[in-house]
Amino acid sequence: MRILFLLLISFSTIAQDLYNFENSKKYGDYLLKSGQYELAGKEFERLVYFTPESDTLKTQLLKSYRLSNQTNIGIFRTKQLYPDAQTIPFAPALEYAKLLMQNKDWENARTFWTNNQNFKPDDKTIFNTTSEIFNNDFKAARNSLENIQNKEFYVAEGYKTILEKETHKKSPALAGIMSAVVPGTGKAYSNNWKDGLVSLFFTAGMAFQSYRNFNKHGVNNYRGWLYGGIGFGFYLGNIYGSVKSTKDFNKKKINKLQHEASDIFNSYY
Amino acid sequence: MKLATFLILIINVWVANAQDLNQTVAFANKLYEEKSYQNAMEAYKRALYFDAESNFATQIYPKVADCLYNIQDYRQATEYYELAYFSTEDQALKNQYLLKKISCFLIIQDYDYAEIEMLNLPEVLTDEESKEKIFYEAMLRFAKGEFPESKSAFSQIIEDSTIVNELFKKNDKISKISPRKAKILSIIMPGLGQLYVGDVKNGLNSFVLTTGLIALGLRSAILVSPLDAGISILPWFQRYYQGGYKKAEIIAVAKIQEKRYKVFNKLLDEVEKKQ
Amino acid sequence: MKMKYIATSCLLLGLLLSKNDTSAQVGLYRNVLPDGNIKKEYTEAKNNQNEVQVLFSGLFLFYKTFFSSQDLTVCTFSPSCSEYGILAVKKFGMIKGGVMTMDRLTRCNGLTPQNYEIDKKTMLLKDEPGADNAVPVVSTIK
Repeated sequence: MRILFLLLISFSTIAQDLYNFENSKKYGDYLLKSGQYELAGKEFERLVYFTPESDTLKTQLLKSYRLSNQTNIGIFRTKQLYPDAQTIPFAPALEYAKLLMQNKDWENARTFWTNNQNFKPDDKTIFNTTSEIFNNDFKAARNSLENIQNKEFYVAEGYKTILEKETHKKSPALAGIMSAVVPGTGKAYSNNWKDGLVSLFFTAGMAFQSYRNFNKHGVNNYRGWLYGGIGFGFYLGNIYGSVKSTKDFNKKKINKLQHEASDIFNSYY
Repeated sequence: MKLATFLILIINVWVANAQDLNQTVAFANKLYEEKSYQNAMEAYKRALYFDAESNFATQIYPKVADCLYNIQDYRQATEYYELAYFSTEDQALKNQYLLKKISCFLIIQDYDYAEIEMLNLPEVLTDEESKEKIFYEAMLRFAKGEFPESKSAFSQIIEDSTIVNELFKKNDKISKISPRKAKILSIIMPGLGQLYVGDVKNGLNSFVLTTGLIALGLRSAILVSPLDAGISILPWFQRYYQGGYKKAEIIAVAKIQEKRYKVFNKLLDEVEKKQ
Repeated sequence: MKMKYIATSCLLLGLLLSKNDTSAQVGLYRNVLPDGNIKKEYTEAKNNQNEVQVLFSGLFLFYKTFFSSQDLTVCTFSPSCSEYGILAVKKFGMIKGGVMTMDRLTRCNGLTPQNYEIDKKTMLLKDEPGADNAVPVVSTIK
């Protein structure tokens, strides 16, 4: 009876040590959940030091680094914790893949998951497609998605609809030409008709002033050239702006699709 | 017997709990004493998380607040002083936390909140507390532009009343500068308002710019056509004329601030000398 | 064990009380009042690499000191159009930077605020030359 008692007491003593495994893990998880990622990183570093064999802890550690935007440290630590990239278990490998993607290190990311033994072929296909969508290479993403084996996999299905939406883009070259012909129309084409109108106003106003001054003072007077020069500046600026605003329009659209892809990816992985 | 063993067990668990939490708190206290405030705060927060029964809250909240105060995160410090305030029943400690809060609000220039905390202080204070209160009162009243009240508070701190009188006389002179007047002067004649508050560069700048534009407008109205002059010059004139008198007002306000800042800091110099 | 606890708490209490004695530091309150400094420093015009940049920085500073200082604050962007201009010329050269600035001037109309993020400090629209406005995708993964 007494021995049982002592056991109980000693057990309770261990259980209450704030820096022991259980409590540290509890606190680390709390920090991670409450968004204090940097502190969580410190906590999990300590935990990993004491129990180097736990993959769960290592995963949490990498997650803390990723979420606190210490991407490079995260990648560096993964290489230290798992010298052989091919045999990293699924959970930490997934975290490492995310870290590499966050670092926009597409090439290394691709070689990493292609060679890792713990990813299924479909996982690899999805990773490839995801990284290509994130890297704004939708054509390659379409090709990659062809390789999916389980056609009913909902991530693959979601990606398919996203890739279909990508086709409706606007042409920056067309916007540039439109603005070259009639100033401002290129901007209107990229859904910024108000900016287009202002551009038309500025360019036309300056052109009109230039014309009037040439008429009045002749070609040898500075006035016509001055207004003409400014007008030409606005004209060129508008062509540049039209191309840029169309590119931005496409970028915004793609960015939205990328976020949709990111949402689907995160709901599964 | 059963009850006794049960009690022993409970006490044991409690002591063990207290000891280990205590170690953490002691460690945090050590860090605090070593002025490693950031690390101390992290340790305190950890202790707070595990202190499920809030045995240590009374002790930790003010420490965390002090850490934040020392790493100059005054906004968050006020929040922890608030927690500290409500975690204790000791009126002396409560007063101390209130005073700290006032200090924080003054430093982050949140005068209204400082005033609210001032009103939360009880009537009866110890000598030390009322000294601190008077100092804050003096600064707060000055910042809020209630100079007679500020003067009486400052003269309680600074013994030499001639210096206080002199500085507040200087301060009263500053009150005569009127941003409104500067604005009106600049409406009448561009640049005049700026000259009135002593900003010669901007005064001349504004004058030259607006008169230059008028001259340019008149010239092209005579030489070319009034319509042409109107189209090309009037928008610019409007911009700089309006900009001029609006800036005159802004400059006047800034000038007042600058002068008050100087007087205020001279008063602080006197307070510092006394200490 | 319990003694230790009591001892440390006594020590702590003592510390807390002793802290009370040190009166308020005056140095902390130097900036309780705003200092009324409205002069701006233009970092954009510093660190010029070549003659063109020196020339444009000079023009920029001239404009800022003698014209912009007298102006109404009318630009809807942060950085303002002139600051954008000098930054663009420094980053992309005279021709492209100039063209970009001309485009910026036409965009400075406040009619399409939905295209830009808002700078919460100044409550102006954010638009830096050559900035990628797209929201990063991968870092948002939780």
